[in-house]
Amino acid sequence: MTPARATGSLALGLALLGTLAGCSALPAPPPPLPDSFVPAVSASAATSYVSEDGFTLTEHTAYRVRVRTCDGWSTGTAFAIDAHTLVTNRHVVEGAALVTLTSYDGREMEVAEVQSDTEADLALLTVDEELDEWLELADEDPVFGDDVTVSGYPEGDVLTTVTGPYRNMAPEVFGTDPDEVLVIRVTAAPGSSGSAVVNAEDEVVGVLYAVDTEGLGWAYAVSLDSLTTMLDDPGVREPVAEICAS
Amino acid sequence: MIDDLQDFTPPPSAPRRTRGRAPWIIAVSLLGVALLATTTLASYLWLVSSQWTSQNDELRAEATELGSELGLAQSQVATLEEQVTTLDGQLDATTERLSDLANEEAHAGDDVEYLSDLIEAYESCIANYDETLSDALRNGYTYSNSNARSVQNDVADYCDSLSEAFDEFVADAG
Repeated sequence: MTPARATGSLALGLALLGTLAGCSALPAPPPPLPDSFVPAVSASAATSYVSEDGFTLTEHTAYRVRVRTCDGWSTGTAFAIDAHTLVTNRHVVEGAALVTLTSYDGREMEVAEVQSDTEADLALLTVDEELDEWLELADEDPVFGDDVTVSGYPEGDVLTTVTGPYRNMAPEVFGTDPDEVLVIRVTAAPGSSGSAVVNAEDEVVGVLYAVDTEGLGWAYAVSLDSLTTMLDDPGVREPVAEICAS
Repeated sequence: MIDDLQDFTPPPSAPRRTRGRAPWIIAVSLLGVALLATTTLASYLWLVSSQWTSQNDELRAEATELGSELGLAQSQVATLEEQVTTLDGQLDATTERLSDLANEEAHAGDDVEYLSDLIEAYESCIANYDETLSDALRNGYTYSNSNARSVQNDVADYCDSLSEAFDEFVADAG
């Protein structure tokens, strides 16, 4: 073989080799297309509370309390915790001869039985009528900065809902009860007493019972601990049944 | 000279010819193989290219359809958002009105309660007057003028306070 021919053969061989080597980088055919390009939509919204009339669950379960004592009458707020039971403050029903509830939409009912807590500023109301909705208790206390909501009837007037942050636990403000209370920043007034303080999941974390007198916007609530103690231990409850002389 | 010629043995040419064809055969074979490989490669590339082109067309059509659906959906969302804002406002107004009505009803209940108390007190007032008067008539001898007046004044004061309370209530009610 002459050198020229050998060179030619070599070049051809190299070209063939190069061509075959190029096959390793050949483009692949396109993958099959999916059946649909529209992603499946999750139905997470269906699990949240949907109101039929524009009021929230906390508002649905908030009742205006009218208390008739032997020498007058006063108002407060209560909230339902089951089909026949509501919670309010002890000071709301103190000396009550007759307790009447009005729902957010104006339905009235009479309270059949009143029991007050001997330790915390809490009271339990029982009604014969079956309530449609009620609040669940939270499993734990709120943490600093958590927003809490209060729906009640300040001054015995229109149902009002306010939201503000939870600050901390503090000794009971009047020094009369042993348990610590929640300090929250919401606008409240006499008449809001007994309102549920709820977290973002509409679970009860406290029961509003006092406001600061300097108008700084602080309010105080009986703790979840005190509430569960009252509900679990009948020993801390005593009946309230004032009989007025005619 | 002839001998010389007879003795001359020319070099064999056939092997030389055989040696000269072999590289051509190899080269032609290689070229054939290369041509076959190139043709196969070209066919494959043409096939793949046409598949990509076809899928691209399909995707383009799908994207155009989805785009028009998205445009329609966005326009519907905008319309629905406007409706939601309107309905939200209406719902707020309705809930506010409902709360106001419930509040008025609750206050009416308070007033009924208060007026019932007042009526009971008036009844008691009238009964007291009646009792005082009957008592005075039955047992006139036990009453001096002064203590009869005193009893009458007590009852009158009580009844006056009720009247004042009623006037105050009417004034508050507007």
